[in-house]
Amino acid sequence: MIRLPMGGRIDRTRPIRFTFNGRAMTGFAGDTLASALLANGVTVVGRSFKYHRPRGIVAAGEDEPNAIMQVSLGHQWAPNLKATMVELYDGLEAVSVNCWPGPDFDLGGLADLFHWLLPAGFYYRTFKGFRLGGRTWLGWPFWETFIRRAAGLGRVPAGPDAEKYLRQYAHCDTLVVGAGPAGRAAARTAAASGADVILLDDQAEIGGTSLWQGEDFSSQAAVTELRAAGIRILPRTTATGYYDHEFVVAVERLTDHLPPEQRSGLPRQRLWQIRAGQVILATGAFERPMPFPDNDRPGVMLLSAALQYARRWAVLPGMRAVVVTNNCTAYDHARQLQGLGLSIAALIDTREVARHDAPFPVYAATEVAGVRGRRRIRGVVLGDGRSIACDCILMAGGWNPTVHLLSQSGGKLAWNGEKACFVPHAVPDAVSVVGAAAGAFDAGYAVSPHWLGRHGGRQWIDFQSDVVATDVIRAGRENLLSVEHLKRYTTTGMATDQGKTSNVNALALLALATGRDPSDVGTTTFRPPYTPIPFSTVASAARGRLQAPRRYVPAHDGHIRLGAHMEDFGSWMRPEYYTRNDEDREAAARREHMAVRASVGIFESSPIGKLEVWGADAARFLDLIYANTMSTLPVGSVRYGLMLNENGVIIDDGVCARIGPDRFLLSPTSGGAARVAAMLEEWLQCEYVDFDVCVVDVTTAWAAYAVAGPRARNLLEKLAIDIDLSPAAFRHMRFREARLNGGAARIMRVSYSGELQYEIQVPASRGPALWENLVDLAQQMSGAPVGIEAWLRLRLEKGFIHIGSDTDGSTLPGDIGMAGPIANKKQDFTGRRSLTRPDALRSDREQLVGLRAALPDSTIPVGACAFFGTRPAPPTERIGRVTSSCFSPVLNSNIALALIRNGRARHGERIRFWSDGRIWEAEICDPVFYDPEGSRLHV
Amino acid sequence: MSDPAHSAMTMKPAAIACDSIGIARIAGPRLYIFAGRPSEALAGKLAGAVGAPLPAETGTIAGQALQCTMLAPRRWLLIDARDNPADLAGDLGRPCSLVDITEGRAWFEVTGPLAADLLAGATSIDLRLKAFPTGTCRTTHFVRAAAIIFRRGPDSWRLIVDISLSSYVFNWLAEFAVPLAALHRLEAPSR
Repeated sequence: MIRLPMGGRIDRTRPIRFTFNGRAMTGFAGDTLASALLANGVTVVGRSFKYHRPRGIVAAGEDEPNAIMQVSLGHQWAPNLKATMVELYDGLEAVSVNCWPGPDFDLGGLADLFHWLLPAGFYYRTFKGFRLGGRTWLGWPFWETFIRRAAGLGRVPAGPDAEKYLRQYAHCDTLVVGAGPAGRAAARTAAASGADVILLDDQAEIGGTSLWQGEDFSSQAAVTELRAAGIRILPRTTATGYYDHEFVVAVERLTDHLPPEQRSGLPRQRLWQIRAGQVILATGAFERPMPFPDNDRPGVMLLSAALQYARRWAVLPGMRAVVVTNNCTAYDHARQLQGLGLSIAALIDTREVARHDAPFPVYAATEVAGVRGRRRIRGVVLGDGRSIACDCILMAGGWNPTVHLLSQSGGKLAWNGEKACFVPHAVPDAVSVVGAAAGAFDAGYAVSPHWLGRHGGRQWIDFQSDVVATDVIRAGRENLLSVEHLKRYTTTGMATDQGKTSNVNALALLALATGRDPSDVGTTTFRPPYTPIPFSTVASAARGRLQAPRRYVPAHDGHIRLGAHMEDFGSWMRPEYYTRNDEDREAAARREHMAVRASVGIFESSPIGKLEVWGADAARFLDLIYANTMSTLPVGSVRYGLMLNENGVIIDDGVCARIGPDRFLLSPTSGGAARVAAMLEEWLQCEYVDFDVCVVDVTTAWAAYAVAGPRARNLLEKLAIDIDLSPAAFRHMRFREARLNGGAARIMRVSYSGELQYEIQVPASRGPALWENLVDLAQQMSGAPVGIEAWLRLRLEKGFIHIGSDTDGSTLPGDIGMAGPIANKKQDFTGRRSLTRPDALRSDREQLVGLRAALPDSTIPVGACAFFGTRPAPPTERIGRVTSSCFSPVLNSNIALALIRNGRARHGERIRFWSDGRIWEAEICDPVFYDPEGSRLHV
Repeated sequence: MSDPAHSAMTMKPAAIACDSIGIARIAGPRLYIFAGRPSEALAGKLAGAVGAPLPAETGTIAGQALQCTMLAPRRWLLIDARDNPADLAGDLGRPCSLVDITEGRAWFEVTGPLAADLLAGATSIDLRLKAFPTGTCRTTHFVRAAAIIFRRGPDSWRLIVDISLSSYVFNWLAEFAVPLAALHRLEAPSR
């Protein structure tokens, strides 16, 4: 391999230093890692996946199967990069993968000595294990550890990715993928018609094949011309997926070509999500390898790749080459290479009729029978025993249009026997395919299929997955006739290159081996991504604190000042508990719990849903939505209600206040507010279209605070409030609009704690001040701010359900003891019919019950399974599960709620629960542990 | 006017500026949802207050100081930027299905040559001038927050998001703006 003294698209005034496997090397600006390695005489760049055979560079672009590198980004290593796509920069460090200690000498290479033991599918047969004594020994789980350790191409960084990534949507009238001659022409034509055009290309330089097939092509001039036409150009951008309605995803490598010190503060890559009116695919074609024995040796390269290296980077793959081909394109390419200084020792043409106008020896109807050399080519052996000395072998097995995106767009392919490849056949209306991607090859192409060399030996079909011709033939012999079965049996077409150099050769060989036409075999599915994408690029900024939306309550800062431990509850950041001194979570929750029972507690309930429902038909509408009757609710009153879906399953609960004759305020659960608002809107827009009703979600417009405890009224009386708070004037389950501290307020007397409780709502901007005020007053009365943990325990003592905890996707109203009120309802409502199904009326349904743990100091875990008997060994039957559980400081006992089969008839029964290997015992009881008469609510 | 510094959603700083992007949380005008099927008389009153008929399609904005845009069938957003906002519900006559949502929303202003690129990182809608002209708005998702985006000029935008998500949205804008501006500086000579 030599660097030519002149030519190429490199900048010889800017030498670039880099290391490969720790060895210092030099290239030039404009080099790829692959071209620089070739220029530095590196023949072996890595080892093959399965047999650990030495491998060299085969291709010059995304189709490279061998030169997979681990490249340093400065503070971390990026795995799985193709040397052909890595632009050289000062200080680049690259190492080979899948070899130890290095690619030149690899202990794993021993595997190749035993290749006859390791044909395709050997592990399916070998690592099954055997049955002895009722169990499997040495089965797949045992071997998997070792196989996984041996497998893989590179290592994923262990820590978080410190790089920044961008994501951007874009819209255009026309998207052109590929900036070769056809793509540029298409872009120019589209732009001239007034279209808004985006042109993307995976190379740093715009030009495609013009970069190595045209003599005087100026990329910069092309860019200037295209920009002048108003075309937006995205170089270094690979379209990786084509989705519905002309939605194309592409990855732009923004700074991968810069030295790490110049990347500071810059994003590494950008994920483009482009919606186009029309997509023009000018994705070109990949050249196919030729099958012959040991065609995977370092120094065996695609002919077109060799020409690219010579023209673009002024590197010759050797001094003396043998070209192996089955078509006429090779003659021109070989001639060009010879003109650049590469001696062509012979052109071996497998066709019967070869061209004899070439300036080098041509061997017609001849095949390579063997390759001399292991890590470096020394020559080829022909079928008649003749030997030709050479230091590189260049393969030209014909061309495959790059049709991945077309296939993903829904386009169909058809086998073209004349061109021996799949070409676009049925193209969606919004898609056009141009140039080589459409199968428009040179007029004198004249390819003659050659899928299997006749001289036997190990002929590589898939370099990356280490699949040889005999593997494919064996698959056919074992009746794996589908190309999809072939892929899974042999692994051909898998891994990072997804068979760009191997797919057609493999399926055509399968066709040959099974006596079929390639069109009968077909292709595997072209799934995105076209080329590997880092997960970080897909995630973009949606990592860490931005991974999911976080919602904050109005008094967030006040909670933090009080020592709140904030937790994520259904995307809301809410105080779980407030720590004092060295309290742990349990101690804090018990203290807050007792503050409510003994004095007063303040709880921020702002996330609770607040839906205003207006209109002349509002009451009628709510009767249809709630399982309870709302139309009979007097103005100023509040009623608890259940919402069911069409299957009768409880989906939400909460109170509903009538705040005017035609106006209601609904309080769905915090986590369900948005979902309920959307559901109501859907009913109105799709079913009850003639109803005069509107729904407005004002959840976040109002801050809400619950004041709960026997001294709650005393606390409210200390506020500047203009309503009568006396028990007679403001009873339980009533609603009042008031002036509080000089501003508007809505106050409901409802209770989720089991104590006298007021829920105060004020405009959100006044929330923080009111919170401070309430907490100050509570603390003066030996009360406390209360977090979610204590709040949920308070309701558990009272036997109030928590939707999603005490219910699941099968819980009906009757299961939680709400069948009675619903059964008396005269009006129809959502889910009503489902409640009369036989399954809903079964007596052995799981029903909500209370549990008193046998051991008062041991909390039964939520999720613990109830079972019959003393041990949960088969065939013991599961009869329910614990849904909520806590220690009750009031009862000085561990209590729980559970859904137990036919539970209401089992009160007094002791049953066992299992969780994580432990067993608990508890007595089934009524779910209301605290104040069953409700006397504390009606004070 | 809503107070932009009323709670935990207070952002520190509440505005950032890179060389090509400015992001600020601003105090917005009063916002109302007008929903339902208005009677002719009520629609007439509302049109009188706005100074133009209620928009019949989404995206268009009617009026000047008191503006109205259609969010969905039977649902309009009223933006009351009048110096002395009157009692709108009183003007229209009670009862009417007008709900004040001012306290539940936060406003952001995003400006500068890279503003559209920044927004395009979070919303899939078409931000090209021909698809999203100045003086119109779009209801969309911004990152994962429901949002209304207003175009006030080629490089000038406003967003309304739920106030509980304002911190998330601001952090997202800030997180993307800095590398985007840095990238712009790097690419400026070539693009």
